[in-house]
Amino acid sequence: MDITVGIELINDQDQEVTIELPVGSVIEVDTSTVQNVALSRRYRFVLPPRSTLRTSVEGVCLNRNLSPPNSASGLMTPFRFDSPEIDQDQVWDRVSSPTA
Amino acid sequence: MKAKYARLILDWHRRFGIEKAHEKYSKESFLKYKRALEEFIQRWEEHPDPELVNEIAHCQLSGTFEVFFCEPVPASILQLYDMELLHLHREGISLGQIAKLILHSQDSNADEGGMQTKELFDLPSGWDQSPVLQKPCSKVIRQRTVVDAVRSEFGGTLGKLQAHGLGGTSLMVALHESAIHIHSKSETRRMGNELANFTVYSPASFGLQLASGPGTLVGAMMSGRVRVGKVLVGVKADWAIDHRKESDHGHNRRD
Repeated sequence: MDITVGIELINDQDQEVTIELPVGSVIEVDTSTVQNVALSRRYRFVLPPRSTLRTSVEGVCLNRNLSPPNSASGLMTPFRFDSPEIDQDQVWDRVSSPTA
Repeated sequence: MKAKYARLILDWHRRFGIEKAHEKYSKESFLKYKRALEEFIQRWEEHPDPELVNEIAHCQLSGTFEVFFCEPVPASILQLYDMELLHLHREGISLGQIAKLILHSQDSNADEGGMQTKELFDLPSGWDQSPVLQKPCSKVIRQRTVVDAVRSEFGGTLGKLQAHGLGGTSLMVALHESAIHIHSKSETRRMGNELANFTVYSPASFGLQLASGPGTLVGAMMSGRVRVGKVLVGVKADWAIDHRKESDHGHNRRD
């Protein structure tokens, strides 16, 4: 089941900024009791000068054993799940068996 | 080399430690020491892997063997090993110092099957504009809980990103806890004050790479061009529509 993430993007500059969230970008939740999210597709946003964009993105769950989040406070992370296509079962299989 | 150091530590305890422990320990503590030593020796004979080498070093530094931290290693033991170990005796090295050599030496990949003692995750200069390939790796960390072990490993590097609005530490904690939960490993979320060994994995071990690079949100956040305000995980699909009514700035395109 896809998880929707509400996100607020703020451009404080005088120039337009275009940004991309690569497929698999990971958003974490503050608490370790609910699921984290990997975006199921690539997103691209154009932020006009001095603007705030409130938008939503969709992804899959990273933690099979945790409960679905319900408006849980979150943060962007510097990570993306490394796969050209994001499939829920594939993500669960990969993260549940870390390699060394 | 590290395997030789670990074997040397075990050899010292087998030859000298048992006798000395009789004098130093109470009966109960002595039995605990003896059991730990016998278990290490048995495991060494079965499979002397890098994880075991690390466990022996940790036990010498802060576990059951710690009471002998300052004991010097006599030449009679050193002579049983390669000549290259003799320099340790000349330096008057102790068991504790040998354990530190195991955990801090730089030849981690030379003969130890890839055991690494350096940090699992690092962000070199410029990573935000040119992502660096992350490699799967793991190490054993001695802590009270798996949460403590993960936070001690990642809290420093990922903690620095908080100033830019980026997280990651909670994610790493959740991934480790989930993997342990799914496989029902013995490394559960331990309670109490006893230290235990936990295997901590790098982000790449879970299939994660850096989401940075030119034009990415992460890159823009690191350079200060874009800030991220509220992030709410698990909202209704019309969340953005509702909020767009409040603020009509900006537009977006989904590819």
